[in-house]
Amino acid sequence: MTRRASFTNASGTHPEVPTEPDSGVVARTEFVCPPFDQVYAETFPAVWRMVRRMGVIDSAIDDVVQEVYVTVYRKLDQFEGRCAIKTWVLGILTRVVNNYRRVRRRKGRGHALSSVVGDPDLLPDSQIDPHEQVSRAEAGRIVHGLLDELDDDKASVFALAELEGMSVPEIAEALGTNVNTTYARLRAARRDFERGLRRLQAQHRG
Amino acid sequence: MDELGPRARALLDAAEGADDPASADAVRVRAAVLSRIGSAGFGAALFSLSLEQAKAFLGAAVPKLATVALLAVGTSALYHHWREHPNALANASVPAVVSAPAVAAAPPVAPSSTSPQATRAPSAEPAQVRSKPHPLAKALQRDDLEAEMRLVRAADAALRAGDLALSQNLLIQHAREFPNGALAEEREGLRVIATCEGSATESTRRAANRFLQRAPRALIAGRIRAACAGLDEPEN
Repeated sequence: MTRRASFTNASGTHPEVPTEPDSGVVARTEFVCPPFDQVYAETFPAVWRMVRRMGVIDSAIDDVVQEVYVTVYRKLDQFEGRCAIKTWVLGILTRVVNNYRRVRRRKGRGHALSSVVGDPDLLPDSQIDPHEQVSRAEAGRIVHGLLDELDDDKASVFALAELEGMSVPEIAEALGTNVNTTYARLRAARRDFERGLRRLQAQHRG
Repeated sequence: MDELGPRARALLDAAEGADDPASADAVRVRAAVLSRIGSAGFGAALFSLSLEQAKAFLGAAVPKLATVALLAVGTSALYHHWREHPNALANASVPAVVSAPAVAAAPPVAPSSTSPQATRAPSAEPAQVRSKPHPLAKALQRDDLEAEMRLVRAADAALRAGDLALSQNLLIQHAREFPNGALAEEREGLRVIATCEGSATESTRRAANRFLQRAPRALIAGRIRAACAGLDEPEN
């Protein structure tokens, strides 16, 4: 379990240092992989949130999070510090969760949006403190429902960007996709999310 | 890039913290992950140390312990209890079958550094929390699985070599240092085997039966059945 001590910079990525000041040659200092427990402690809150947001049913959340960390443990030796550890772990998470979503769809366990979200009259008004109108849990359920309507790629990009605050280049690294593709998916995801929200409001007002 | 509208943004703001884990979630899932790693990842390698290696590991520092204080229930049982009673961590003490102290909500997980939600207040914890931290919450903050493995492997090597005293000492040391460790189940299984090989009394058979009823699929269950004769005899 114990691995060599971590050596990362403030952003969590592995630093590069010039070997010769004028040579232009940049060499990586020896990277040492962080221990599993450190990775777990640093990433668990984000992993848990993402699993909940990506449509995993409550009774399966533990199992999916476990699967993520068993995979993390098995692959930790392959982590080379080219990105923040959180980015790397969330990349694994995305693959595990997308696989779960595919299996769930095949088994016909998808939820209808209306069955997932709550009373639309409780949707927050942007002009008023949302906490006065809607409970956090209710808002969370609505967000889950809207994310559930997005396809896997869009839902992942949207949740990582809008809910975890990751930059597009970080998301591209995590998902192993092109940066431009990631930008395009985020734009499309935002449009779909807005559209779903408008439709939800219309349904409940109609 | 197209940005979210104010209403969607307000919805996301309102949902902040709705999905944050409780500290109990972190402890419970970690215990389960370590259990899976212990079963699948270490597997046969867990019990693969020679007696000489065991002695070398132990060195001259074997503590002379007066009592054996092994816990009756290990991490797996605690984990399954939590799975069945998710609110138990905050609302109740662990039931009597689990010989662990009452549970507390010690936040064992550091917030992620880049998440905008990391600095926000965590989701509301149930009001009834205990002041004494649970051992697993403390264990979460330690990178101790490797140390656990060394002890358990060494104990097994000594057991296989017939050095029951050395094996028991190592198991006692493990129980003392990792009372709720990830390998508590393996420790308890080895203790049962050592007891059976030492003196197969009715009480040792009962101990073996209790272990097998509690953890019939444990990695070490087959060895226990082989080591402890008369396991299927009805208890008086």
